[in-house]
Amino acid sequence: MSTFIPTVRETFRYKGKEGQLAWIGHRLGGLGTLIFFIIHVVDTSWVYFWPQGYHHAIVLYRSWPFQIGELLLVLLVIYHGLNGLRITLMDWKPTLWRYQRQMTLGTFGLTVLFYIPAFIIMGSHALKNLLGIELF
Amino acid sequence: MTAPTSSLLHDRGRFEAYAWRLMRLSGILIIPLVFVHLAIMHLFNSVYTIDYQWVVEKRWALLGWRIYDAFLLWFAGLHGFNGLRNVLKDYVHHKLVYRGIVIAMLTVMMAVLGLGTIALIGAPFSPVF
Repeated sequence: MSTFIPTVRETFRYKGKEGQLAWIGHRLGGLGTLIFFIIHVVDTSWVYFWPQGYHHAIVLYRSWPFQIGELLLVLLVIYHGLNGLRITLMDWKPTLWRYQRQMTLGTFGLTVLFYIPAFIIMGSHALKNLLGIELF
Repeated sequence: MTAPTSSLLHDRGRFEAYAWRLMRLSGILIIPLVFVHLAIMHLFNSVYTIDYQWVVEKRWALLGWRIYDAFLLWFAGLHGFNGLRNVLKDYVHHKLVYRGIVIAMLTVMMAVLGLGTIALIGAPFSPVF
């Protein structure tokens, strides 16, 4: 436990530039996705175990706080997947480490590129159903 | 191979090698599985179109989607919980504490994978509610 606090603190203080940002993002993305995964599997299993409970869960997911959570979750999943692919590629072909910085920045760029349409489409679902505003 | 700072915790021979391989293989498999899942559930559909009837009539009525979901459930579950264990190793260096947390995590993982698997096998092929 004596090492826990400094490890967490240095995670955010260490000035590792884009590499550090990539690492923190990968870790937070993984942990955040796992928390949602646990909740999501349990509530989806209610289709079999407790259909009324599944209905309650879906109603909850339709509210603003969960819609914002959904927007964040999809960003985390896209980033974690693409960054994991980058790490796998670099381990597979170590010569790629020469382009570590470019590949890391490329992963950020690709994440944004994938996320923009997802954000617009998911945002339009929420606007339409929560505020009655139709974008498309 | 025993590094100065490592202990039995960090150096458990072949298990860690298999765990590492699992992360790579499951990771590569999960990418298409999750991205297609996200596109179908969050873009082409949404929580405003998904409900009990939809899941039973449009998704789990087809065996193929149950198998798809089973792959996603197991690969994402093993990948996620092993990932959590890897993160834990960075922060918890006390052997007994580490072991206790891993046992708790395994319990949660088995419960989650068990619930998901039973639901995928047992859910009706047409609405009963």
